[in-house]
Formats: sequence, structure tokens, C-alpha cells
Amino acid sequence: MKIANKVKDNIDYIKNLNNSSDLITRIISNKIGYAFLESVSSDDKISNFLNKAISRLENFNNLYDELKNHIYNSNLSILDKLDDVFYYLANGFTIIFIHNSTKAIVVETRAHLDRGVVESSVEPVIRGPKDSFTENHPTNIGLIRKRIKDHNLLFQDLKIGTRSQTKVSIGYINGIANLDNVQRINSLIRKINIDAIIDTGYIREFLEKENTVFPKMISTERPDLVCSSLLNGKIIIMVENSPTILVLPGLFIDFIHSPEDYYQKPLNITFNRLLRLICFFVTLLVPALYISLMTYNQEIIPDELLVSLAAQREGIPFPTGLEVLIFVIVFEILREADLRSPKITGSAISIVGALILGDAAVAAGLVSPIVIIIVAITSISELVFYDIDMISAVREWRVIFIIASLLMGLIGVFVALFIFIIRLVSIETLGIPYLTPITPDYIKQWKDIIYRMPIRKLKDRPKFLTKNTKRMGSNEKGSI
Amino acid sequence: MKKVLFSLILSFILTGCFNYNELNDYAIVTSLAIDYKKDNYMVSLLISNSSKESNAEKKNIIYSGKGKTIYEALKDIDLISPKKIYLGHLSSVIISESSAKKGLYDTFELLLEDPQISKNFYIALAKDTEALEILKADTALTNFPSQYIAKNIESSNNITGSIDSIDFNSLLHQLVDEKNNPVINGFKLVKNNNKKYIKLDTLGIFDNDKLIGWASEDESKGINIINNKVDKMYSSLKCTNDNIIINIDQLKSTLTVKNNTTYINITGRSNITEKTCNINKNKIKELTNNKIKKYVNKAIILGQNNQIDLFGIKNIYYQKYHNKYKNIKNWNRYYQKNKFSVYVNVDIKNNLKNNIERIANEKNY
Repeated sequence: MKIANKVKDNIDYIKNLNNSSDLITRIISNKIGYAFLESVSSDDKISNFLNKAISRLENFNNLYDELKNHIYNSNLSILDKLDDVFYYLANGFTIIFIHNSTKAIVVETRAHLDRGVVESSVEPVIRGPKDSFTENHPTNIGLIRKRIKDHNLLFQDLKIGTRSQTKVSIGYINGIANLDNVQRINSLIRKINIDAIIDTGYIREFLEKENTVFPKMISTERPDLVCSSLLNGKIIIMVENSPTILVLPGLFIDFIHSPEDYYQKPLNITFNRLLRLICFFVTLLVPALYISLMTYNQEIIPDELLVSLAAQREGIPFPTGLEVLIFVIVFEILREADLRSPKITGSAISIVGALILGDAAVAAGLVSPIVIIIVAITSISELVFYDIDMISAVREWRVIFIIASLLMGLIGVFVALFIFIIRLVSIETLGIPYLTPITPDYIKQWKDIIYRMPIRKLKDRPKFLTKNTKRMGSNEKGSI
Repeated sequence: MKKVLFSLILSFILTGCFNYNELNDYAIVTSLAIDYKKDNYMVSLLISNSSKESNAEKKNIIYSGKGKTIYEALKDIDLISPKKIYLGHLSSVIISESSAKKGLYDTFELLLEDPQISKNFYIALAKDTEALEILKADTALTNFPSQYIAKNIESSNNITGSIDSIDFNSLLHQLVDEKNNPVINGFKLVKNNNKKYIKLDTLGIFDNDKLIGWASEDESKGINIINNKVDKMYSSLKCTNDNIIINIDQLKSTLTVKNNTTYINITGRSNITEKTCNINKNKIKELTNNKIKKYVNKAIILGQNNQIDLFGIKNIYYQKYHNKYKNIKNWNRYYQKNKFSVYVNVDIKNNLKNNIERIANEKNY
């Protein structure tokens, strides 16, 4: 659709397209007409840029050039066609039509409809940058750009969603990231045919094959994590209106690590990482081990513990397996309720959880105290991980372990453990096995798996992520 | 792939919870006593009471059953007990004198067969009393009273040197080997403040699997020293009219055989802990060595009198002089004629003066 000579025709075209209440149009003496959506535009900006420019006009002969040169706005472009005019309007642009001109001027007059950069509530930090991504796409890019001022930091923009027309950006550092992978992701995202992309979760599902419960990419709100990943050769996907950013590839070890690991003393972090790894196995195996010890393999319980365990079981109506399963589920209900409920009712849930379910259930003889302890240690250990997908994956495998232990005791648990490890090893993301660098082993990367070397000794980028492995030159030895 | 997965899942489910047992359905047996009376075995089980309201008196329950064999006796108990008898945590077995005289093989048959039983429980004899009485003795000082017999054996070790804590596994090896004659400690009942307690006494000596008698305290010490079963012990020495107490540790004996003579070499170190008389250090050393030599000689004489090999000399012949070993027909006779040469060297590490004197000296500084 070409732009008509008459201003009124163009305005009518827009009105036909969408005559909603927030569409504001104005025609000034049949010569200049403009249209914008007041819901996404800022009135102040329009008055500043447009009305000031019009009022200062002196030469009315060549209105188009005059206006184009006199609008004090850095984000100004020219439209030839009326096809994607509504995309501009919905993005907060003001469209200016001029009499006898087949071109329209588009001026950015966007209103900031976001909450601003605030601290992340899902990924808290003790030490380190506290800002987090927001729903505003340029802000998100800005948060990354201000950390990496390299001109090689590139973003490929794509427009996905037939109705939502959401901007999706693939970010990477040219020269570090594997460009084949960037191309692969780009073509995969380009193929997405859907009406709307609401959140990064949508993109994620189009990229991942649903053959495992484990997350194959990191979802984060933290710019520092995104930047350190970019510098290691990873690729990020940002979606407009979503504060969550995808980092690819997400390997198992990335979920054990935290960006904070590099802001604290190396030896202390080694201990923390060890703790996280222990927590992983505790939350995975403890209920299953408890069930197999109590129902099949009593002979390996220490003598002194045996009698007290047997005394606790006395008078409990359910079998041990059912007892554990019930309480594992009860905890999940509590957690889910706590997540979904508004913060005001949160304290009620904790009172119900702690007092009624913990204390009273034991007193009523429904459950033995040791089961409460088992479920508590299991649930606390699972919260060590920040990635919600990882937590869910571990939770699902925990139930599999419990079922295995119910059927065959310790033998069942170990059979399930074999299957678990085989599953974990066979996952691949972007052609990289999930357990890299543990297996297949990249010995050079082992400085930074559980034991973290001082940063000055981490001279190389991971070989499996990038060909350009040189991270730093030689640093002089010295200390205070 | 689907077939493999299907058969995997099936193999899980088809086991049908084999061997499934809730812990509270078990009667946890911690000690087992075997008596032999009038051609009948009487087996008694000490069971930990795992009910919630367990007061001090009811912490243990004893069930007894009778039968021609131990299995029958155990099944007799199964009829009494409301819970399934669980022998997986058995920590001690007490065998009465009469049953030990009949032979250990008969009693051990079942303990060996049962897959549930771990083979590392302690074995002890009941001396001058029935085995059941040992289980009935009063218990104190332990939170977990049904295990007190095992605890008693563990804690008594390395005090006087007359105690040899022997577990089922090593006893079995000695029995099967046939080149060793086992020794097992006996429990005695003692009265202390109107309560009956158990106390480890001397060793019972066995000819193969049959009890033939009891060693005296000195003899027991000698046997244990030669067999390297004592690491630490105390000994009291007599000087003029007072006593000196020395603590010996790192006791080590080595046996070598040459020309029908067995050389026993004993080394160790000792500390003087109590000394109330003035006596030369060398003199104390001489007294210590003589004392140990006395124990050892007594043990040797005991073995020779009963014609049994208490120290595994047969084993040394078997390993080093195999031809000679094969030619010896009547080993017990040969053992009786065997000569022994004992050499003891226990050093005194410190030379304590009389403690009172020492404090007086310190004041002078």
C-alpha cells in the first residue's frame, strides 16, 4: 500500500486498520497530519519534537524536507509504504504525513512502560552486581553493552510471531563464539511459525528436543552471568518483554557453578561447590536410600541407630515407602502454594507447614520423625540450585529412585543410578555432551570444575566452546 | 529400544518386592545363648525392645526355646515371638560349658548357614553358669543395653592381658585350619552391690572343637602374649614389701622353630605408673621380664600337659618344614616333647621416682 498524496486518506487508512480508543490523529490545516497510540507513546515527547518543529517552520513550500531537518529527534526514519505502519505505531512511534509527499516521517516517541532496573528476586546475590534484566529490550542490551564494550559484541535481531511481532535477538561475541552454532540457532528461530512469543520459554521449547528433563540452556536474569558466558564463547537469546535470557549451551556443570564463584576467594568457593555437588546427590538419593535401608537392607544400619529407627516406626500405619512418598508430595504442595500465593498469605503457609504438618503429624502417629528429617534435608538441598528447571529435573528423578528402591531396595537404587548416569551422559546440547568437561574429559578445564584456581591461573577459555582459547596474556607475579 | 525398556521395567516389577520387610516387623536379636541339657539344646535370644514406651526395665526381652537342634529351638522361639526373629545384627553368642564340651561344630552349623547373620559377632563361653544367666545379668551404663555383652568384651580388652576378644570369623578360620587350637574367653557372673553383673574371666582351651578345660589367669596371659593378642597390659611387681605397677605396651612376640626347639622372643616397652618403694631401674626391668617369662612358661606347660598346640607351632612346621610336618604322625606327642626357649626383653621407658618425692623435689627448684 503506497502512501497517498492526501493526508486525510492516509489517516483514514490507519483508522480503518484499527480504530481503537488510544489511537490519536490530528491534521493541521490539511497539510500535516500525524498519528500515534497514546497508550505506548509519551505526550511530552510528541509536543517537544513535533509541535515545536511545526511551530518553528518558516518555509512552507518544501514541507517534507523542512520538517525532516527540523525535528530534534535522533531516532527518525522515513516510510515508503503503509504496510508495517501499525508495527511502528505499536512500538510507540509517531507517524507524520505531509501533503503532496509519498514519504512519511516516523519519529520515536516511546513511553517507558517498564519497572526499571531493580535487584533480581529469583537470583539473589551476596557480593557482586545486583542489577538484573527487565522487560525492556533496549535496556537489556544496554546492561550487556555497558559491561562488554568490545565492538565484536553483536546482536542479530529477528521478528518472530505473526501477531505479537516480538523482537528476538541472538547475541554473541564475534571471534569467540562458534559462528556455525549462531547460524544454526538463527535458522531454527527464523523457522518458528507461531502467533505470539510471550516469553523466552517459548523460544526455548522450539530449540530443545523434549527427550530429557534436564535443562539444556541456562535461563538467567543476571547480566554478569550473561556477560561471563558470552566471554566464554556462549551464545545468548534475548526476547523482547522478557527479563529472562537464555544462555546456550547449558552444561551440567553450569548449574553447579554460580557467577558469584568468581567474586569470592577461590578456596572458599571450592568448598561451596563441593557442598553443592553433595547437595545434588543428597536431594536425589536420600529418600530412596532411606527406604531401601528400612525395608530391604537393614543389615547395614549401625546397631545403635537400628533400635531407635525401629522404635520410631512402631505404630505408623503406612509402609515406609508410602510414608516417604506422601511427605515428599506434601512438601511439593507447600512449595507450590508458597510460590503461587501472594506474599501476604505466605506466613500462613509456613505456619501450616512447620507446625501442623511437621509437629502434629508426628504427634498423631501418622509419620515417623525420621521421615520428616529425611524429607526436610532433601528439600533444603534441592533449593541450593538457582535454576528452576534443574530443581524440577532432580525432583522427577528422585521419584524414579524412590520407586526403584520400593521394588528392589539398594539393588534397585543402583540400577536406577546406572540408568540415570547413562541418561545424563547421552544428553547433547549444541553438539557438546552434557557432562563436559568431566566426561569427555578436558583436563585443562578441570581447574574450574569443583576446585577453582585463582583467576590469574585460569588462562584459557573452554576448548569445547570456542577455538579462540586465549583469555589472558602473562600476568606478573606479585601480591600485597 | 522399546523392547529393552519394556523388559527392563518388567524385570523391576516382576521381582515382586522380594525380601521386603519393614523394620518394625522385626524382633532385633543382639545376643544369643546356647545351653545344652539332657540331649536338648536350649537357645535364648536377647531382643531389643523397640516399642515407643521403653522404660529401663523393659529395654530387653529374653525368649528361650528348646529343641534337638538349634534350628528347632529357634523355630520354637518363633512361635512365642509376635515379630519375626531377625539375626542380622547379632553382636555376641554365649556358649555354655556343656554345649562347648559337646563340640562347637554342631552349634555353629546354623550360624554359618543363615545368610542373614553377619559373621563378625563375638563368641564367649559361660563359665560356672548357664549361658542364659549371662543374658539375664544386670546391665547399666549403656544406652543400648542389649549390646552390653559385646561392649563389655571390647572394653575389657587390653587391660589385664588375660582377655582375647575373638569373633566368629577368626574362630572359624582357626577351627577349619586344624593346625590351631582355639581359645575362647569365658564370662563369669559376679555380685556387686546386690546386683549380678558379668565379668570376663579366663580362657577356655579347646582340643579342636571341644572344650577340655580352663586356663588360670596367669596361663591366659601367657597364651595371649605368645599369640600376639595383647598389645597393652598392666602388671604388678613385688619389691621388698610394696608394689610397683607397670603398664606394658607394644608387646610383640615372634615364634621361630629350629631343631625341635621353639624360640619365643618377646619385646615391648613399659612405663612405671605407680611406685612406692625405692628400687633400681634395672632391677625393675629384671622383675618385669621374669614376670612375663613366668606367664609364658605356665602357658607352655598347660599346652604340653593337655597335649594341645595353643600357639600355632604346627602351622609354622607346615609352612617352613613341610617334609618334617608330613612325617610327624602323632602331633600331640611330638608337641609334648618339643622344647621351648623363651627370651623376654621389655624396656623400661621412664624411671619415676616416688611421686611424693618428685613433688618434694619440684618444690626445691
